[in-house]
Amino acid sequence: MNILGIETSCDETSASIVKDGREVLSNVINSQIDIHEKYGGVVPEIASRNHLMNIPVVVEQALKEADLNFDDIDAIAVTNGPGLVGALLVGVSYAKALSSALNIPLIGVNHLEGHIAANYIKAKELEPPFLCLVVSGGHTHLILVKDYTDFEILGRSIDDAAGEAFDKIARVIGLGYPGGPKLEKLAREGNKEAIDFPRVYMSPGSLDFSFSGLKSAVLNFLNNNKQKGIEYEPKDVAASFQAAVLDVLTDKTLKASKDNNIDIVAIAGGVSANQALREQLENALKEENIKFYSPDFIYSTDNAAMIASQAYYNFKDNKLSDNHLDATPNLKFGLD
Amino acid sequence: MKILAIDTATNVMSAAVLSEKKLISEDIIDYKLKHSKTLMPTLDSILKSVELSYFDFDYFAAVNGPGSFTGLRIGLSTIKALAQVTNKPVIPVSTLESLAYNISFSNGIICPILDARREQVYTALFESSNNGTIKRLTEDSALYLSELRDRLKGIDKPIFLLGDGVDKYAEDLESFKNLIIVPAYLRTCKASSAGACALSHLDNAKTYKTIEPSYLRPSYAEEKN
Repeated sequence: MNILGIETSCDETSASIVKDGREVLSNVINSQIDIHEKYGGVVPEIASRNHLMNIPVVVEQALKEADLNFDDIDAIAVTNGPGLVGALLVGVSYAKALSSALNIPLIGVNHLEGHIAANYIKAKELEPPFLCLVVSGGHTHLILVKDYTDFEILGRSIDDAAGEAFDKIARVIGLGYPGGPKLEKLAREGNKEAIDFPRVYMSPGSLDFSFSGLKSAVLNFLNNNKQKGIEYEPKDVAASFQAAVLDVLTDKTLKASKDNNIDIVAIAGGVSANQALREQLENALKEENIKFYSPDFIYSTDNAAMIASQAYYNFKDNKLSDNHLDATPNLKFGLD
Repeated sequence: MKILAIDTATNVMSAAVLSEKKLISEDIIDYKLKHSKTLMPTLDSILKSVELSYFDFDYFAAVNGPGSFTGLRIGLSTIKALAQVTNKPVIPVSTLESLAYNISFSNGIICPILDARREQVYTALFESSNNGTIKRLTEDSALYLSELRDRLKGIDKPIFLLGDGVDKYAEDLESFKNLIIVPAYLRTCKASSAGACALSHLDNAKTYKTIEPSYLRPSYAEEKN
């Protein structure tokens, strides 16, 4: 079964054709990073304008790379949330029209569920149940994947997402947008023990996250040093901050897997491209004999292949959409 | 020759199927703003009732602005997909010119105004003759009311005011004695007018890749930069 996936939830316009949920026939991504860079972040109106002009081109390219025609497509999948509403609307409207004109099923996909499914593409043997740490610019979630379309949120950030904290700290130490990858690169050169930033664990036993306190601690550190005229190394700030985030993510992931007797852990979302996070998690899990999966980098960041992959399992569980599908910017897990 | 025309530029969502010879079907909904949900079911339902498939059209016509940025994108995303799958051309239609086609036999000056917020209206002037032809006099633009008043000074023909800006701004234009407020049932956007307008602009056909919205304004972030 060939599913054409469409993803426009933020600043990447992507289309992909995936066979039977696991085999990627094409995955075309048009990134707008260069366009938004000068504004220091994604401008929703500009993102929407670009999606509109990009989307037919990206879809055409995806068909061409897969050497297929519209007639070879069995279903259309589209991200219908969460994300920027104006950006989502372009993909959803376009996908609905494709599905109607071609007279094939339409499958709305939750963007976060898509991120989790990115793991199925690389690891053909991976099957639920497993635990997934989803970390991105908008989300930090510990999710128990009970079945392909059955999820339980074990923990989540009560304030900033991990990626959001990365972006903010990157901005204040002058790294620009997108902050996460630039901060990670700088952190590699720094000493992660130079500054002891707080690790916030919430109440004992909690699997929730909070990164706003850490963010404030870094900002205070920078302000105090500035007022007192003390020089500091941005690379040490980057490394120490990153270590504080990674320690908490690793510890809570480990705790969640033990609490739930799960011996398979996957990682997903834009921040999962962070090499230091992958290494730290993998090492910690190995000690406990827990299997660790991570998607290829290209499927960590936003892409349509993961949407088409999850859509296959939605389809098998008869979770279909129809021509009333709407963009839902705050779409919740496990809901249609 | 069959055309499927849509208009999602304002609070009104409208779709029509027509040919040179007849208006086959039309739907106009001015009820809350939820084009993203209603457009596709409306189109599917129209096609079902007139027993047509999306592949049966020679042209698609889409109102491409000015108007609500989001509304325009919902309409154009939809039309781009339809045109791409069926490999048919798309005729872009100005929201304002389409409104002029609502009253093409009025024999005077037609002045559509759309609420553009920030104390501005999207507007243009058209001249209609008593044989139904529409001639464009000015380009689509966003004007302050004072600029519009200056533009209307010195016109001695009847001036027909219509569009969704009428409710808000008609009072400000009362001093023009030759101003005629078009009655409500002819005042708002409808896809049959867009289709009729498209029929007279077949030479302006675009592809699913090249059809683009006419926003008339950059995004707020670009304006500030």
